[in-house]
Amino acid sequence: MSTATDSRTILINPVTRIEGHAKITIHLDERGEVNDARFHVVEFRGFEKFCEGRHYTEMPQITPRTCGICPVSHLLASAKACDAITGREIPRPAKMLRELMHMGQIIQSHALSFFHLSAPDLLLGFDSEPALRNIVGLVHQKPDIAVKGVLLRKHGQEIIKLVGGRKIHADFPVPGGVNKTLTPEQRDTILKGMPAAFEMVSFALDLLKGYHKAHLAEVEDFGSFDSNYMGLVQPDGALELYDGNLRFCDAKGEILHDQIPPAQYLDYIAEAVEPWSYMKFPYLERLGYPTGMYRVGPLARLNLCSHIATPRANAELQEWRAKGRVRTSSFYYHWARLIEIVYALERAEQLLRDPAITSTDILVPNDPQNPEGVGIVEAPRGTLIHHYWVNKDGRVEKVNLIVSTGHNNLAMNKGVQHLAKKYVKAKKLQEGMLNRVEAVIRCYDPCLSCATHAVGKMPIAIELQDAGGAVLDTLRRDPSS
Amino acid sequence: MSTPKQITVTIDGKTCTGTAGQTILEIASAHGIVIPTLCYLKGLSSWGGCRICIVEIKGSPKVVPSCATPAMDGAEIITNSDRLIQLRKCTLELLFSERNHLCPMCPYNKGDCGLQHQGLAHGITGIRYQYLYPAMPIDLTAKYFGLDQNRCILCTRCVRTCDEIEGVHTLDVANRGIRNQIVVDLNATFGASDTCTSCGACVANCPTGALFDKAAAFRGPLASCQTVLTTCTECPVGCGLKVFTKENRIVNVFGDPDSPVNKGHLCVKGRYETWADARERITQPLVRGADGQLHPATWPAAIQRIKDTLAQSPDWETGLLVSPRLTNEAVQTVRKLADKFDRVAAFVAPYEAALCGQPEYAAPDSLQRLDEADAIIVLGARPSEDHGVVAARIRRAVRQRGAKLLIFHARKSGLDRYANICANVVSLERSFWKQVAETLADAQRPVLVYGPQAMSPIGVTVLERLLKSFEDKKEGTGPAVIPLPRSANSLGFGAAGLELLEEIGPWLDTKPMSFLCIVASDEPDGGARLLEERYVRPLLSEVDCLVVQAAYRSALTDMAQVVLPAVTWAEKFGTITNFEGRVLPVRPVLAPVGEMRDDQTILESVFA
Amino acid sequence: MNKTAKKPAKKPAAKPVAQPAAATAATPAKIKVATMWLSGCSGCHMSFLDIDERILELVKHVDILFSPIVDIKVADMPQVDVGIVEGCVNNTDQEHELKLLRERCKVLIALGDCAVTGNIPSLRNQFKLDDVLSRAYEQTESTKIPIIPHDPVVPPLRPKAQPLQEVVKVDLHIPGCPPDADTIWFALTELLAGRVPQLNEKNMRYD
Repeated sequence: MSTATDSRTILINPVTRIEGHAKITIHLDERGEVNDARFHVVEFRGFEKFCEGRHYTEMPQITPRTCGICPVSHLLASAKACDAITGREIPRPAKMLRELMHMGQIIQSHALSFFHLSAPDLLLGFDSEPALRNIVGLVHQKPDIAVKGVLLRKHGQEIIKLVGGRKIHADFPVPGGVNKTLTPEQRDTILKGMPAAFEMVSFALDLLKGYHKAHLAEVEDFGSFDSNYMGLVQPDGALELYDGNLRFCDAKGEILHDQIPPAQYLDYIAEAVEPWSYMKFPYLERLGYPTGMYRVGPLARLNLCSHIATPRANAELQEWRAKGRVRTSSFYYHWARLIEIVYALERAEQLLRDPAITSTDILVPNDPQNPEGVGIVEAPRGTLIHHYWVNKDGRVEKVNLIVSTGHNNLAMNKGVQHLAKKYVKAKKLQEGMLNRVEAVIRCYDPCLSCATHAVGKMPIAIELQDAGGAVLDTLRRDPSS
Repeated sequence: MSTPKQITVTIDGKTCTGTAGQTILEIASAHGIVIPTLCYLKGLSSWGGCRICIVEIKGSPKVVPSCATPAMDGAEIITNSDRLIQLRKCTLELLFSERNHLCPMCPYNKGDCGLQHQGLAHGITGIRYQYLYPAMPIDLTAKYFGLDQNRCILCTRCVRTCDEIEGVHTLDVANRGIRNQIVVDLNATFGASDTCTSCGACVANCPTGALFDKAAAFRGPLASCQTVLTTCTECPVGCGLKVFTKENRIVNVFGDPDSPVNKGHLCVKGRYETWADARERITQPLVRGADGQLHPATWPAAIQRIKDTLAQSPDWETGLLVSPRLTNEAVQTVRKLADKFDRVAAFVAPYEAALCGQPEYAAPDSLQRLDEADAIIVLGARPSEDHGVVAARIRRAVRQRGAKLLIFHARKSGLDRYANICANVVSLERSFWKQVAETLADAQRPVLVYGPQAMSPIGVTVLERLLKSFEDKKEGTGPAVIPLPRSANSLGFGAAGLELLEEIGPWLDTKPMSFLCIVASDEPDGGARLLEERYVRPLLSEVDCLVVQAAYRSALTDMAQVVLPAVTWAEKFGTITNFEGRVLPVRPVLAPVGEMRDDQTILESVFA
Repeated sequence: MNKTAKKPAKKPAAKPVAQPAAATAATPAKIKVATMWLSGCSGCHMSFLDIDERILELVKHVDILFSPIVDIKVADMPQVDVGIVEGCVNNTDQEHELKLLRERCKVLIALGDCAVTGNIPSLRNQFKLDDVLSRAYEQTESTKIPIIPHDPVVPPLRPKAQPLQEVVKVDLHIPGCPPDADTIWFALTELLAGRVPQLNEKNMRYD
């Protein structure tokens, strides 16, 4: 267990209940103060190379295998990049169907994040029995809540299946549109499930708002720090998840760059590599590295949008902003996720009630007319960028992917540092502090499946390193502790 | 020929009768016994290399490929013993291990792949061999399709198809053993190949996703589509099409295997140009406004505009010019309305008029004659450019039956290299014609195919000379003479008695025309080819009111005062008459999305 | 690691899953399960979660002791009855963990195409590993501060990304990308009933 020495590095490995695996090392200086915290992603698969040579119509099939939790995000971003290569506008019903599938995904992924991955902390307590502090424990201890989570996720997955043909890795969006229409019966089935879904997310919102009230100090300062924010917005600045242009704003919510067309992302975003993580570090190029840190995802989106275009979600947004226009505490990610579920449900309903949703006008030709294309969507976890270059035969020549969790890499590291400084004191490693360090990572709901286009390993151990890098202590959990 | 001997075999305990010479697989299939196959395809020679169709014969320790083994009278055959199933599984597992058969990213993964089907049917969940992960090339240089070697199982269906059906033998297998690979020509790419005709038959016959159609990729599994049989209207051969549709869109087009014309084979036009090219479709009437631009309009508004224009100027010289692609039914409407115009004509290829007016020479068995010919003369036609399926028949005659081929045409063609004599410039020298006579000396079933250029002055001379050389032969009959026009429904037009124009410039020029309606129908270029003829563009721009009836936007439709949206072949209902004189059905495969109407309906509503 | 072609095995007769320790009369002992994801996308685990409400029934019979979806950090992999692994073996850490799980479980299941065939991650085997790393960390158009990660904390990649059975013995393969939730449910319930699940074209997919 822990030994008393001068300085230590704490390594949490793996961070459970996030998608993908990682190690966290916490470096203490000679005085035992937290000097640095690092979030290491330990895997790499190589999508940006091994897609070369394929026909570009396969990209919407290959890239979703980056991630089984948000494959729809990759399907859509990839199809949009391919559309840009065809140089054609897809028919309106196709756009609607893609957005509808996306709403299904937002619902399922955020429900998964909240109920399966974060709720155990909130409902069973950060310091509760680790063996039970998970979805299985939730099922045993609070089965009615667990069921709501399961059913809300199921509603989202059912939308994806009815619209796209399959829950995970559907082959639905293609260059030029989508390959499947929605029948009136399928539309009606989805609409029938809406009231129950609204009820479930309202329940979750009440739960979370209750937790906020009961733990005010903690939630306001949980991995809380200033940062810039990035996300897609509609022409009038409203929240947008499928289409739109990029907006960057600063820690106060002041707009830095607005309505940037996706094709110009390289003028703003650059990436750095650190030798100790397979995940790259995107940053705002004009501000340099690491000053140019920014956050993406539900927190960022709600911070930078002017409003939400659907009424119930917009009302929730106003409540979310009650304490201030910009929320900086990482804990607010959970609440933001639930608000986005409300938006997704409302937007899905809008799309379903539009008669064009069952149209057969869903495809235009897929021959490549441009040598490159960029597709950007707001995945549940944040902005997702696909960029392909092809030759005249449609052969993929180069690929660049910047995935959602990647944008949050600097921020996650900062969040861990912030929390470690607050909770990791002296030379004792306590269970609870480690949970909180992990929990701040979970706020970002990082999808490490995407982020390194890779997945990490289980389990995490915590390593304490001295200023020289020698491992002084490791903390692991026994099932009994 | 004596009748073949009847034989009897037992397959899986069932008594089956067949004829001597039939393979075990053929007899089994005829009796509803299913033996799994991969490399076998009806219509191609048997190769017997995949070893999936293996069966056991009592009394023999070996297993044999049933597709390539003639059934012996009295044999007792087992098709599904434990041993056979194990051997098939081994073979399939070896196939899976050899290359990168990744279903998740393949356009044929939803039930359109033979390898996937056999793997699942045999309950293969994992393989016992190590995966090799070879780095295999992907050739995407063909316009309409690609070849992904990762997914190839070396069944050689593509090689046999290209050799035996299209007759060019572009594809073959290179290297040895594990390095075996399908190659194009002498290890070229499709894009650089000078033999590949892009007929797409290899893609149609490939059992896996190795050869795949680009425009169809991921747009609908064939297994989930409806099929409609119709006729291709790109040329006068009139091949049968089997069109796969889903949710009112075309997913792919293949040949109709039951069509007596093409027996399932297509050329690049029918196979791809009918649907895989991106064209700008006109979906509603367009009327040119005061601002000089074309604006969408309703049908009543567009029709009224035309009627008003005509009413205002009753003395105008009016004309109707139609495409030779019109169905017989549309042609009847043109005939009916002909007296509403001062001049009515159809535009055909140079020198084609003479061919169009000869329905009496068309013979329903022209293609059959070609299939039996031992000498073929092609005069003034370029089947390899204009009638791909006929060119395939000619190449097969030459390469499989050793038929003689003589080509007379001013322009080079893709068939030239197969010819015994190829003359771009015809000599009148005696030695040349002696050579011709010698080449034809032994011909028992000669065929003379002649196209529009045969009706040119030089062409007619050569035609007469050729016919004479047959008369001079001491024995044998004269050749079967097959007129082969270029325009799709030439014979239909010929029967209608309309004026046929080989040049429209002089027709426009004889008397200034003030009103002209051009029925371009679904000409792939929207009728723009008319503008290539000298003086036509300035002459057309002098027409006060030009109306164009077309499916696709083009430089021609851009010149019109009124554009009326027409249906394409995929939305038409009617008949065309092919060069053999067969009347063939054109059936709609799609419901038009928009304001498009068929040619006869448009003409009646505007001019009747 | 390098498996040569074995003689074709006869189809095994349905063999019962090894029973856990003796249970009390009232509550039969639960089957202990560990799950892992190696170099995959987690889609197979997500497909497992698509059994939806059936998870409530499942957890009555099954103890998930170790899994990315539960919160256990253990010094060592516990002894379990069934190990379920998705993803292929891509780096040295994964190889180590897989071998550890193989030692500690009675039945090892390869879940999903990555675990069964290598699938998408195995596409990198067609390229030189240095080229793959260089494209990602040096050449991509957005990378302005390039370096190939090399700190000891990030495990090196193996020469090839390989399916599980090229590293350890696998008892059951469930292909699919991902396999349907119903297929996973079927396989698990068959195993719980002591039977080897039979997979064929009716309940199996390769895509």
